[in-house]
Amino acid sequence: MPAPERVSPAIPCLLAWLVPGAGHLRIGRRWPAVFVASTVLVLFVSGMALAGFENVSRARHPWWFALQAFAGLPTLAADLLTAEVKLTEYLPHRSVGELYTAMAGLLNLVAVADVWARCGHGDPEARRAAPPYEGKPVEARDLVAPPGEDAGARG
Amino acid sequence: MPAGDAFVRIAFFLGACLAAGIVTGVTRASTPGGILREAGRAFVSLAGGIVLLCVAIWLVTAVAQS
Repeated sequence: MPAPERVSPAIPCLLAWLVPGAGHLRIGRRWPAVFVASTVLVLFVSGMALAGFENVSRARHPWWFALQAFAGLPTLAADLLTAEVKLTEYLPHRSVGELYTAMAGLLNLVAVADVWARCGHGDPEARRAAPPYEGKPVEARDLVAPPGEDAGARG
Repeated sequence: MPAGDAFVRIAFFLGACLAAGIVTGVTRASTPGGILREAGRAFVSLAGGIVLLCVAIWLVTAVAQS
């Protein structure tokens, strides 16, 4: 894993929002991108399937759409492609589908936050390895001159 | 509630916890092994915590109704 480099988070975060996983790919983190993309997209599509491909719609479900919008372009595509879909049968797990699609959007928001953190502070492994606080406070024993040394001579 | 329906609901719950666990793993590691390890920990913590919370609510309700 190469050393983390500080890059501007604007473009990676925008990409991470628009296409799940693209932000991590933009900063060279391939495996996090694979995991985020597969998780968010599988959750999103399975949620749509459970709700009969009717639940992602700005007009029909504006409150759900506000959460789903964090998934980016998949939400826009689903809204456009399923605009004419109407439910013709009872779906017992429709509410689960609505929750899944909203959760996909919110998890993508977490991924955007992770891209932001990686751009500013490096990978999580590097953040954990770094000392918590570099400015070490001066302790009283450090102010005492060693034996045989004139404290006044040090200025 | 039929037993089959209960299993389906539990599967939905575990699926949601798994998805949240994987994204949590992504925020804590960068390698595939590290992500899977952290995802496993997050999944167990999340699912176990929610189950414990439900059991606690059920116990309090049972005690209050007795």
